[in-house]
Amino acid sequence: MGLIQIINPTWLRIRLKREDGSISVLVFGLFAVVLLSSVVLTDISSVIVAHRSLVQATESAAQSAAHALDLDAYYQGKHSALSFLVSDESPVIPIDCSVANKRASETLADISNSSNHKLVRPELSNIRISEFQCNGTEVLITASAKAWLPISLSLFSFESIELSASAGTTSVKKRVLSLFGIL
Amino acid sequence: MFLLRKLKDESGSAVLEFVALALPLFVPVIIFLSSFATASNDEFIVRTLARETVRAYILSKNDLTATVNARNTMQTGARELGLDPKRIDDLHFAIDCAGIFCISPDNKVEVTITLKSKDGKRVSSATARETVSPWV
Repeated sequence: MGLIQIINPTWLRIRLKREDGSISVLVFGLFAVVLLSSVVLTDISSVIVAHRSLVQATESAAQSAAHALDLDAYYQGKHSALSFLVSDESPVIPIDCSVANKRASETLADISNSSNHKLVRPELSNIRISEFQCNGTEVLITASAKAWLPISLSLFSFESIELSASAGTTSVKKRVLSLFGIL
Repeated sequence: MFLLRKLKDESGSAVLEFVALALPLFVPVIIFLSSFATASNDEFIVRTLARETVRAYILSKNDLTATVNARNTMQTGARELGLDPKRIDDLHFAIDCAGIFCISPDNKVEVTITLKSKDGKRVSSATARETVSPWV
């Protein structure tokens, strides 16, 4: 097909009127859309599973942090053995916030460095505590991580997304007759 | 003569073109999406079950009741998450911890749940770790 043919108006008009191959264009266009949608769906699905994994890691870290008993507060007046005997409500266990922070960081690091990524999804990296709140009885942890997309959309410079998850815990002592304040 | 005329006739050629092109292009994509959705769902289920099972385990009073509690939690959770009875029977869990007794103060317990896919060709597995209370 020469250039002369293309610039020939009659030839061009005939070509444009012909419908040969029009379905092919439609099918390839549709295929491109479906393929792109599949990539996006695959990425979204992986991110959802990765986020679930991050939530679980955060919960585990928060749970571990809530076990940091503040001994000084525990053995002072309101958290004495006597208070457990007379109180109607289940007393919360006082938390040493600095120890709790350390425990949470250690637990999260432990989980993220587990062998073969068996405790977190391999898509997650750079898992860290982005926010730690502790008021002495409750711990709230927000963890962040970078989730790499399994099929990266490099064309749009979209290879990873930032995920975050929060979990809060408190330790409550069971209401039992405990003369020494210890179960 | 009739055959020649029919062969020259272009009616229905668009359908043929569509089928010939669409089938090889779209069928693999649909198969991929279907298997990926199933794998993702299985992954989500085992991850949730691992988490809940390890929670049930560490909150138990001793190792004996912990195993029973963990198994019950796993099976109840699997039912709630919509697994059919045959797949629930295929569920398998393993406990790993340091020391002889898992339920001991500040001990770390790991629960690994494995689930075979419906066709049995793929295995989804997830592990969750939790720390036992220091006051058990």
